[in-house]
Amino acid sequence: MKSLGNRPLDKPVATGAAGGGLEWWKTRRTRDRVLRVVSYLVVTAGAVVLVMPFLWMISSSLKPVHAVFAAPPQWIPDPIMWSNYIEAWRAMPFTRFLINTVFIIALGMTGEIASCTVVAYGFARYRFPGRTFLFVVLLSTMMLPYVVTLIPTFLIWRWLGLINTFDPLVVGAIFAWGPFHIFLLRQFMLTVPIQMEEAAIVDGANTMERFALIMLPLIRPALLAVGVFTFQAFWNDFLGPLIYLNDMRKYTLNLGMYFFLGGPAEPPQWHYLMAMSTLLALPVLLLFFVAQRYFIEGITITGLKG
Amino acid sequence: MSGTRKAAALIVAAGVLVAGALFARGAAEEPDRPVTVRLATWAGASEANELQEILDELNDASDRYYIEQESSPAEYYTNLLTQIAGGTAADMFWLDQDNLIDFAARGALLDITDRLAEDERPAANTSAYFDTPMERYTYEGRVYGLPWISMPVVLYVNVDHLREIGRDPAEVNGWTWEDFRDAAIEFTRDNRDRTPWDSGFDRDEIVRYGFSMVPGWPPIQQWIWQAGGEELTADLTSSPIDSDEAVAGAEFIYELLHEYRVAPRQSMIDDRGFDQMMRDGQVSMFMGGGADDLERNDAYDIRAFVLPEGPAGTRDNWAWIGGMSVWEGTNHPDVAYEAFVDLTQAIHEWKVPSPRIELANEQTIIELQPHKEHSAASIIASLEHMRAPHIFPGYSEWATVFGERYVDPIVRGNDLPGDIASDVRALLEAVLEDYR
Amino acid sequence: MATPVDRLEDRRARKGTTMQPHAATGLRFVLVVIGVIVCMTLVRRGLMALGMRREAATGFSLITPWLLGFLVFTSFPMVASLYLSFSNYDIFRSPEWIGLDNYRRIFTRDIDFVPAIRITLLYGFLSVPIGVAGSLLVALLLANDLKGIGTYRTVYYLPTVLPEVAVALLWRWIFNPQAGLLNRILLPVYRLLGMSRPDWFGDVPFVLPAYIIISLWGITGVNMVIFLAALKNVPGHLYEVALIDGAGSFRRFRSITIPMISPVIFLQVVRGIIGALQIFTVYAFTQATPRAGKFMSFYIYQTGFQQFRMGYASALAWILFAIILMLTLLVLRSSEMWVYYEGEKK
Repeated sequence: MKSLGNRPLDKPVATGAAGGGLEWWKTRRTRDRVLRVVSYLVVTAGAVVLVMPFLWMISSSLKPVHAVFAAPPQWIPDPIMWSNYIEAWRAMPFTRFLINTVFIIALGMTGEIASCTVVAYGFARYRFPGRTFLFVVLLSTMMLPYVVTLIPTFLIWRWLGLINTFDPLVVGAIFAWGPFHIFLLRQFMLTVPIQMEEAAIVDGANTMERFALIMLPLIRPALLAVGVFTFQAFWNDFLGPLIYLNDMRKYTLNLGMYFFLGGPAEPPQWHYLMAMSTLLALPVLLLFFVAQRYFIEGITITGLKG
Repeated sequence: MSGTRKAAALIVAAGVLVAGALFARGAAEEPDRPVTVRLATWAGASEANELQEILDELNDASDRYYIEQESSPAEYYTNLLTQIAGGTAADMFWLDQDNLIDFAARGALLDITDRLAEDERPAANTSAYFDTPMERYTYEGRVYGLPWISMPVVLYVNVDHLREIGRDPAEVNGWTWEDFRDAAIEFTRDNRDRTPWDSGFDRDEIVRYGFSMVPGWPPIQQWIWQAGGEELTADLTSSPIDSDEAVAGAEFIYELLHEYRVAPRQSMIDDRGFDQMMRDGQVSMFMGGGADDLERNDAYDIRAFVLPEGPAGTRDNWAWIGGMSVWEGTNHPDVAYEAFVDLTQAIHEWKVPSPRIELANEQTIIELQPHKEHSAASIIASLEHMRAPHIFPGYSEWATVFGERYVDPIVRGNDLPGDIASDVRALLEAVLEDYR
Repeated sequence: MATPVDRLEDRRARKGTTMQPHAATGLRFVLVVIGVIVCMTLVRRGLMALGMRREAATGFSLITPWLLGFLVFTSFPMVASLYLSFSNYDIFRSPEWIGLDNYRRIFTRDIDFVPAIRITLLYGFLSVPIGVAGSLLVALLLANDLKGIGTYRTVYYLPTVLPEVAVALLWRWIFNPQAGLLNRILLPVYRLLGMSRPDWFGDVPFVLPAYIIISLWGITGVNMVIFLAALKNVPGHLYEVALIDGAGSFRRFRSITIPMISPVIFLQVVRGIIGALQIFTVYAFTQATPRAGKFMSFYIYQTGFQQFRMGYASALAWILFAIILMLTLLVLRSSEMWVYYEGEKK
């Protein structure tokens, strides 16, 4: 607070308004309006580019297979093959894959969000010997390409006798295995003024109360973001299920989707692949759409004003 | 201090809990009778379902084994390697020619030579196979697997375009390199219907290409062989790609792609789709595996032909061979081997072209793939010209250098083969040296 | 038609084996959760019994889940790969210690190493600043309360849910030498310079620029969301005060927004470095000419899993690791000068 609030901000000089306060407000409003229109245009232009591959995906999911890459691209399929979705879903037991995926996400998300938040709180709010060092260690676990750690990690689960179970996909989550999420939450916690928790200490709150009742509500946007990211990470995980699950009954949706990529002697079934991709994208988008609404509610810490 | 004791008790309790939690296993499965044999494959959706029907029949017929399918087409080898390293691989798995030697030389595959010798089943008779596929499943005189498909590279031609330039499909199987090149040039048209031979031909606005090639496909080795050159000698001691013959093969490709401009550039192919351009009539000739289904086309009559003959008088084509092996680490090699041969035999009746001589005939192909009616004879004829590279345990490293240092600059038009061949040869032979 | 899985189901049902993999994992999951909570309590009590300050003991207790996970699941693979980097390991057979041979070869004989490091670092240095600034800009635009902004935000999140095939297609539309968007736009420039339309992934000098353009894709999605959350975390009353003081929007941005979100900018820079230097998927999908240099991660994958030289790949990986760590430490060191922590305990 000190470094910002106490520093007097200069009156703007670059607005070009030499006159009194009223004149200046007028210019400012016009300027804001222009800015608003320009932002709208920029945002829209970007959105058009981003939405193109998405529309292509949906459009391809409704075409016969050989029409998918036809040039020039045909945006409205003719005929519209809704049956692709049913056929794709039936080609492999996707209902079972869905159950497996939901199971993995339910456990994994709970474990990861809870543990990462707690660990981040420890790094953000408590001084202990070796904190910086341990934090660098935490960051460093993200710096080694997975290619060279894949086999040693696999060996650990093999020693534990847990290959071909869901454990390697979810149990690790309890140990806060998302270093990036810890980092993210820690950074957000560090932007929260410490005074609020100090006030709570005076009121006799213990660690868990301060954490759950004061910190968590204040970093809600970050928690929501981590929630969306975690959901998506589990939803889209490919390599984990691939190497840890042998039994096809245990496959996940994403792993099942790759069956449509075909092999050396089987051409890819693009239409089914796109149908499954669309189905897999929708829950994530829906979740995001719901979550983003809460980003709008800015956190105003009124208790500290003045 | 009672606090310390309490803490100690808690530590023990926690240790037990964590250990218990990690090591706890589900209720033990009852022993399998018949023995469960795990099979890893790269089968995609339809392949996996078709394969399962075969497995169902085999499983119903046998009281010794039950084959469980574990398929996953993407990142197949990353998965397989990790499982082998971890000692949890499937009892048998599909392997292609590029990987078999690597796996066999490193002790990952069961040596089935002696078992095959005593086996009466037709698929166990190694002399019933074409030489090329069988050789690829043999390492240092021992057999480590059986092939179940051997696909020659064939030349797919848009016969409608062919007739348009006044040529007859009957002549294609007799083509030489020059005939092939002339046809490729005549097929190629710019937006004003000019060919590369016409004056004013606009290279930036080509609407139809005679041929199509990317750095990885079709393999440039085919032209080196057809010109009488070698990219890797059988004794695995040298890579004479700078010999006159080998350079002539590579130069033929360079000229075709960059002087006559009969093929689209890589990014263009990426954009339109490699085989899609052939399907759409934007490319008139394409080289692909005999099992590609380019003939399934409503707009154009597309047929397969034998590759054109090179200056050395050969039509060697690059064979892609898929097969299956038993894992060295399997717990029950006898049962796994039994299931392995039964399954190989069943796949031979499913996949075409079969690597077994008696099964590889026109009728079988047409029966299984009716749209190959006009291609079947050429595919069978191509089987005789199949050739596969000499593969050694360091082949993938060798192939990386060859692909990145030699093929890529030639196909992209960045270097003339003659200029770089001897430098690349030195690099290739350094790899050979490392593995000697 | 019965799928392979249906067959397995039938068989299990016939045999009467009803082991439920979900229940088994669920049980173990709950036990591990309890175990971790017990460990956290123990660490706090134990350390305090040993005479550590309450605050420090609580801190250790809170990070216990991660510490346990690190010791059990992460440290071994890291140490193992370090060991492998000093060995000859072909995945199939046991590693064989060869001392510094891998490293010696990398620095003396490997013709791919220098180009790989060069393109990877150049890509990192160029794409990280562009990425951080770009995603902040997008977040600023989307933080406005415009009408229908929720839909816009969702559209800007689309890239993260698209399959790689669809994304790769976008690049094809853009980079196609003949009809691509980029070459159409740049045509006057080419005419002016008297050059022909480049093949972005095939002509060596254009490969890096092409990947930088592709990296713009990364300013949407996750990075944008993080900044969006950060912007919404800035206490509103600061802006109110500034407005009363008459600060313009740029001044508000510079004096309030930037310092208040600087911890998140720091996060994004570190994350950007770690991510950019390990770029893999895009490269594997676009197949640029290897003559421009292969990105390190791809080179490591190729060496390890395609050429069965996992020991050598590990050595390459540890060199990359050292570079990323050094850069991260530099940023960490510099952060004291420019990162403002509202809630930091000095």
